[in-house]
Amino acid sequence: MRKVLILVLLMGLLGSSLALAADPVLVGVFGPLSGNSSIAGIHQKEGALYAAKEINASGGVLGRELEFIFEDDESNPNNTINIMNKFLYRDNVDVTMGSPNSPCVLAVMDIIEEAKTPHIVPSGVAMDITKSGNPYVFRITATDQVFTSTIVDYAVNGLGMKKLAIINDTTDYGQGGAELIQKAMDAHGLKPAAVEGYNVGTQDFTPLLLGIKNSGAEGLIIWGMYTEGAKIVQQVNQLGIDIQLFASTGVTIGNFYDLAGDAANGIIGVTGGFHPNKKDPAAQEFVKEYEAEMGYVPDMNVATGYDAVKVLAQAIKNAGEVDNEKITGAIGNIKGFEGITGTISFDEYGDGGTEALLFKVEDGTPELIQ
Amino acid sequence: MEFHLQDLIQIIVSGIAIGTIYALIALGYTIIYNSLRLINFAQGDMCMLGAVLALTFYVNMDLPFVISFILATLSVVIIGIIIERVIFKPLRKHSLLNLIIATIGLAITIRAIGLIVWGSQALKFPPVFGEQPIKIAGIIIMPHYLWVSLIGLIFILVLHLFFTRTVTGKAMRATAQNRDTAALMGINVRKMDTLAAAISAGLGAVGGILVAPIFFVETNMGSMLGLKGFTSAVLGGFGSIPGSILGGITLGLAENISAGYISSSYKNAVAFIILIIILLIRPTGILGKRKY
Repeated sequence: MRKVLILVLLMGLLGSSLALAADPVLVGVFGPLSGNSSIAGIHQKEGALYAAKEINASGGVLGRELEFIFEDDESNPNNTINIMNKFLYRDNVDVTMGSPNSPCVLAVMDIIEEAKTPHIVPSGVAMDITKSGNPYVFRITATDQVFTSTIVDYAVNGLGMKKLAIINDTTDYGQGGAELIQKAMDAHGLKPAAVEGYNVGTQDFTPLLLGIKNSGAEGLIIWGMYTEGAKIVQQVNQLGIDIQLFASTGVTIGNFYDLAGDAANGIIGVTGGFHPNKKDPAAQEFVKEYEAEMGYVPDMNVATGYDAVKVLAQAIKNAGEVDNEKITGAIGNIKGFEGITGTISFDEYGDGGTEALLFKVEDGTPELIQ
Repeated sequence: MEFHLQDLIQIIVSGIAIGTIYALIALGYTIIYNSLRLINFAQGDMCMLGAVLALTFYVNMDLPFVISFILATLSVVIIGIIIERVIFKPLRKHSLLNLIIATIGLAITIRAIGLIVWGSQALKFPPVFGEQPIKIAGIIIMPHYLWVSLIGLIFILVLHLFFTRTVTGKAMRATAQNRDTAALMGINVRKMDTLAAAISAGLGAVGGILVAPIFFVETNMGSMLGLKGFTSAVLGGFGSIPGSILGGITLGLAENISAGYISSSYKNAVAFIILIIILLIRPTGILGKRKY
């Protein structure tokens, strides 16, 4: 008994002295780990840990292990501020990450800029996260800029459409999307056949849809949220308008498929660069291994959390030392990184995601268009 | 938008249907105002309660639609009576402002309870009025628009008969005209107050149940419907029963026509600009009585 105790003590000493020899690189991650959107935060966490396990198993970065501190922001931006202050000034982390929730990220933009530590956003999609000009913030997921051009390119090149109409809600999200769609159409030398805006809460879309029908459009791109999106899809169907529908990411989430019912069939939607059915061999292998180990099929939040950590490890290797400014510069210089979510190349704003996937709804389930 | 006659007719049909709903809600405001001299800002939330309760009876409890309709309406009527007894009656002695704030608080409370019980996501109401569109000479009309207009108009007609042909209805109008004189004539004005609260809650519930199959059921649907109903009541002339009906249908049509031919983004704005113009020309509303 005593021998065992001594052995354990010795091992403990050995372990701690090894750790002292090479301090881990500390990464602070925030996201919702409880509450309504906790599944997004938990998946981000598990994707990040999964990537870190792979990296640490093969020797870590610059001979040091990646170590994480996770904090639950409960999707509340106020909590994020406290968490970031704790990360930066008490835990003295080297890098921060988070979250799937854009408002929580936007709340800490100033803190990040003041502390001058690199921050990676795996899956928050608000435009302001990168476009507000904070040089320390980077994003993994593709955003509306990629989503809109993917849809327009497919409609024009893939389906041979020349007349596209837009219907968007009058929030920042909807109007920003409508502008990006028009920019993407400009690139093909096209002008929208019709652009109709609607207020969130609109019930009856008859007048707008009749206007779109009369414009002779072959395709209609819906940029808004799922409640109104489902109503539009239903009413297009009821009014017997023969038009191909395209939907923004906001339309095909929530309980969209319940609300729209059979009317959802045939619409084309867009999603970030990862999907469990993605044909890409690397992604397929990831899905298989991840499911075998974790017991569930990885989703977009797992994939972006995973890619974020992989990108970070690559950047630290390229930087050669753990230094705020050097890591920040190294992340910004990453181009053509092959992630699970597609190719990641950071632009001048810090947006890395370049790929989006399209799917078509068949019998109430989205099927990827490869 | 190019002009097509069949489009205009389609726009008018759906405008009348939603206008009938606005009229029912406007009548709720008017009846409460006439008897209690109170603007009840929880009126729109009676619609929400009607819709979510009907959904619960019809979908979760599998009752026939007509039974669900009646049960949901009666439940909301009872809620209306309780609200009148517990909140409006004790507050009558205080200033009008207190009462109005109480109704706003009530609206927020009802919405919060709805959120806890039924959640924040929109719920789908089964298409009880049929999903197959009716096609007449290139015009596509959804049957539920016709049903909503028809049922709404029946309720309005019954209400009209009640107010003009029955003793109780006449007593309610007398109370609305002059409370003290009505009391002197032997009318039980307290009973009339309760009746007014019951009828107005019931009308709200009917409006909510009727829109449910066309649109989705949401726990925050009351704020939009309440605002539109209130606008209709003002547009038609606050306190006037025919005015509320006319105001509702005018607003429904104006909204749809402006969305079709002027700008859909500014649909709400256009509706309110029309309201402002009409009130500038006729400060008492279309059918409101001039006050000297």
